[in-house]
Amino acid sequence: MRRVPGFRSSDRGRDRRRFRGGFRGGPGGGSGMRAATAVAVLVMVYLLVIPLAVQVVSAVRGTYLPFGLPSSRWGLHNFADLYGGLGGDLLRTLRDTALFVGGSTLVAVLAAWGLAWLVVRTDLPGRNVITMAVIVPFVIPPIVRAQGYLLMLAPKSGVLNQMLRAAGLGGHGSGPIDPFDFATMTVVQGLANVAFPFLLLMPIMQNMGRSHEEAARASGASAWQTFRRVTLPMLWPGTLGVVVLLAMLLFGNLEVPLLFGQQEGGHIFSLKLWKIITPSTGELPRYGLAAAYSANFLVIVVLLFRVYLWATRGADRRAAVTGKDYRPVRLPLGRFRYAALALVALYLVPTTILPLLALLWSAVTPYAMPVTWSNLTHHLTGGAFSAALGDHEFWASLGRTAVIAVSSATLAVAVAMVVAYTTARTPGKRRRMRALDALASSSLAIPATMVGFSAFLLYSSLNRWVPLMGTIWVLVLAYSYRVSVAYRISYSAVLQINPELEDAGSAAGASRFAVFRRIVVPLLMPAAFGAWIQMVIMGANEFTLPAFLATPESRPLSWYLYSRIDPESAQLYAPGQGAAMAVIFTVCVLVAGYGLRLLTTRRTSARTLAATVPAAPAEPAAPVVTAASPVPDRAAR
Amino acid sequence: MSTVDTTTICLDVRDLVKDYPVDGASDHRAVGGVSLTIAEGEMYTLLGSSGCGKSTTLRCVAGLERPDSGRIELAGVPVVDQGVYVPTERRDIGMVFQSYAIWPHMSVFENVAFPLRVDGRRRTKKEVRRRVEEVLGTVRLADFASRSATQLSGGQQQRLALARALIREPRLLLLDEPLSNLDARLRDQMRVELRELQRRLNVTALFVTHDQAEALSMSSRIAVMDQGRIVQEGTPREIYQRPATRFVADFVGTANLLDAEVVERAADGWLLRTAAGVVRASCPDGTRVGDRVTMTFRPEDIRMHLSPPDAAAGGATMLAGTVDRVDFFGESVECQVSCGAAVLLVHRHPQAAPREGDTVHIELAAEGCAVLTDRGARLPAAAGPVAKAG
Repeated sequence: MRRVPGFRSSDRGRDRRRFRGGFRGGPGGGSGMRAATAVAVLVMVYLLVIPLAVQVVSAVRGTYLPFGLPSSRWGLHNFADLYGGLGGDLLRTLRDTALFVGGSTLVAVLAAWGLAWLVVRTDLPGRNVITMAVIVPFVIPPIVRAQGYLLMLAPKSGVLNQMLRAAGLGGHGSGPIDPFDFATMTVVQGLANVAFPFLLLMPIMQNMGRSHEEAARASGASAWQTFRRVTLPMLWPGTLGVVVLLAMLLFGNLEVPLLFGQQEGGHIFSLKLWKIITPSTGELPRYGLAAAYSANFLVIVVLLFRVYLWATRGADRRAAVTGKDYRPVRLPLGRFRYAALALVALYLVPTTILPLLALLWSAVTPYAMPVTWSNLTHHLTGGAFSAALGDHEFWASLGRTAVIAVSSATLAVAVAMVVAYTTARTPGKRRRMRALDALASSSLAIPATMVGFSAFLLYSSLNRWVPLMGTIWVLVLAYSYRVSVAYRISYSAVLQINPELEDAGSAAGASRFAVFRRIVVPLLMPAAFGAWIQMVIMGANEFTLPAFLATPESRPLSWYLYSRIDPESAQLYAPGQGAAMAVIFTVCVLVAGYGLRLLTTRRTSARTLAATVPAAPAEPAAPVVTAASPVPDRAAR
Repeated sequence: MSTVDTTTICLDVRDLVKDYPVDGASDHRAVGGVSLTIAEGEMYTLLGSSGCGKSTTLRCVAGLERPDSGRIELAGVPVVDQGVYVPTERRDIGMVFQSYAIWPHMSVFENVAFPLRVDGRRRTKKEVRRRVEEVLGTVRLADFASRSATQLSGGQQQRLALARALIREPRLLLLDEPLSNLDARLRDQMRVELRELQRRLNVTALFVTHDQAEALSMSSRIAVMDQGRIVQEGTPREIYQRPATRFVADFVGTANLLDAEVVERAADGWLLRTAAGVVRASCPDGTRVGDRVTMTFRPEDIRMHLSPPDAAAGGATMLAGTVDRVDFFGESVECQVSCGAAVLLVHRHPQAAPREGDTVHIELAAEGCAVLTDRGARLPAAAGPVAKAG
């Protein structure tokens, strides 16, 4: 690179050489912005890199905790155990995890692709209702969903098994579906996670302009040829990104393996990791071995993340350029419309309606019994609900859940906005910005299991000096690792802002930080608030992270709920109350999510109203929420 | 080139260079050694096609781009120099952007008050209000202060952007294609308004545009830019009537360009041999017989007679030709006339239009014929309405 001797000392604006001596701020630098960026990057490194580093250290440092124990020493014996004596075990874990995650991803993406295609690209009747029905489970806590599925599939009293028996599809008194079968668990995991890929695929299909397909038709291609040669290839990269993202999400999920995998799921990574650190017999947990396991899977995760980055490269920039008003052509289904509707119903009944029904049934009946009219009239009880509502610990854990979810979402969104502004608006410095972008996006790829475990190691090691273990603040920090969700949304939103709005701020005499605070932040607010709500809901639903970090004193509602339905937690076991709590919990999350959303729309419209002079029609401000962001309300439109 | 009195210099730019990296490998030179000087109260225009470096030059002056080398002095204060770089917010400027860059989350009032709020000085609410209302009055937006900025029409947003740029009372006003987003009628109106305001407030302005009509009508001086360099600087009349290069002649207005050889010094001017015939023209000092030059004249400077005139005006050249084509433009017709081996463009009032195939007589006044001073620009011949020597 050429050097111009005259341009060394400057207080800001080192467009092309700014980052030579480390991170020194956003576009144009400026001490305030530089400091904010430095802090945000440090927080991100702390949230994302440090725990994983501690995990790697643990893997090469003894059997138990990595620091502070006199017996700790450097060495590869954990890996020796893993590859040597336990080699067959590792291979089995790899195979079972690949089958479970791959199979459930396949099931979920196929279902989501078909549903998204039907509601976005065809004239299927009732599209809006179907969209809502597919999306709503996204907001239901995953542990509640898993619980609902388990109740629905219970061999004797499960409503689905009951229906199948009634239809003469095998089984006498129990079955035909065995919920603890490996295949059942895989399909359940897939069907319970359709909403997420559906939300991501809808905008991808919506944003595909009609002109490409029309051009193909005009070139003489039939509808099928157009679909195969134009539509599919154009949707392929986006779909691949969704596949990888979902696989990584499912990789880190503990709920379904924990509830369904007691017999055959013991070798699925997330459950295995959890079992290593919570041994049932009196032996000491072998953290080092677990870390070695996890380190192996980290390699796989990094490879998957590369695929994800490759599949989605430039997607935001493309969306920013083409985010105009598309109205995709809808394929007329004709006489196939009823067949399509039947297919949708076939999906919705066992995945959404029956699990919720089973959950409700469990909450209003005193013990597990088949769904019949006589059972309903004879045994209906509200006892579980009143017991749950009178339970002091229920309210305490609900309060903790709210505090943790709100604090972690706030921290993550604040950090994400600063970093997104820096990566999106630093001219030159491509490689450095790409690295920062990858760091900020990486939590999409890091399975929650691994983060929960790493954070457990980190805070256990730190506990001698900073006694955070067992407090909710460990959970706040751990939950904030999902900062990438807020980052991706903020990044797209920054790209939607016309850079001249910021230039105008500088030209009007505002420092870089003042431009960020007074112009960029207010313009990002709608998108940031959307991201915040999403992260609050994710935090409220979080189950995997507290599995590693929560104690009975700090556990959020999701884990208190689990202790109610886990037969091993002897004195707390009360599945009816658990179901009642699940229902209340779900209602709370739904109300909080949609209430907050309603609040934003009202606030925004109030601002518009206050400024509106009746004569002039208000021109809506530029939309800042990107098509790539999985924000439910946008997709529902 | 400039004869500006040094005490009133507002902006002085010397040897400005700005490169952009192209895919990491080679650099694209956006600005290649631009120098210019603007006096107080001037409306100085950078005119050129897109990608000629005019906006980059302006953004370097604003501090939104960092030049690779060169020196910029604003009101006597060096803002870019060896070891000196003053950031945008501390330069004494106001700027109007092509997109207006009106902040949609602020009211009209807040948009204008913004520069007062961020300059770190304490002011009473009353003073802010007084100054904002004053400048809104100047741009005729006094009644709109409480509106949301997004409710304004294009022309109003443009005036709001101007008010925001003026409220700091900047030494230099930077205008980056401020009229290009307006529709044609509004643009004409704003052009007049902007020029009038600039004169009334006596604010110095650096104006960037690709529109020659804007440049010619608004500027006190124009610099025509091409490929990162200023190719000619002068008053609008000089630029139009005495283009220095083939590029300027072609870019500003429509021009007939003829390669010519100086054959003889006449009493008032010179005689040049061209493909169209021998033409009388005024030549720059130092011209000698035998020089090969390019001469230029505007289509509207040609008088066209349908029948041979009784006598040509003194010093004018008469040429006979055939009309090949007539294009109707509304307020005029453009005729393509074959004249010897040359093809000339002639503008005429539509009511006196010839028909295709007519024989016409062309009268060229010596004052209307200029010889390009930049000899390097003679070859190679450019495309367009250009005739080659036979």
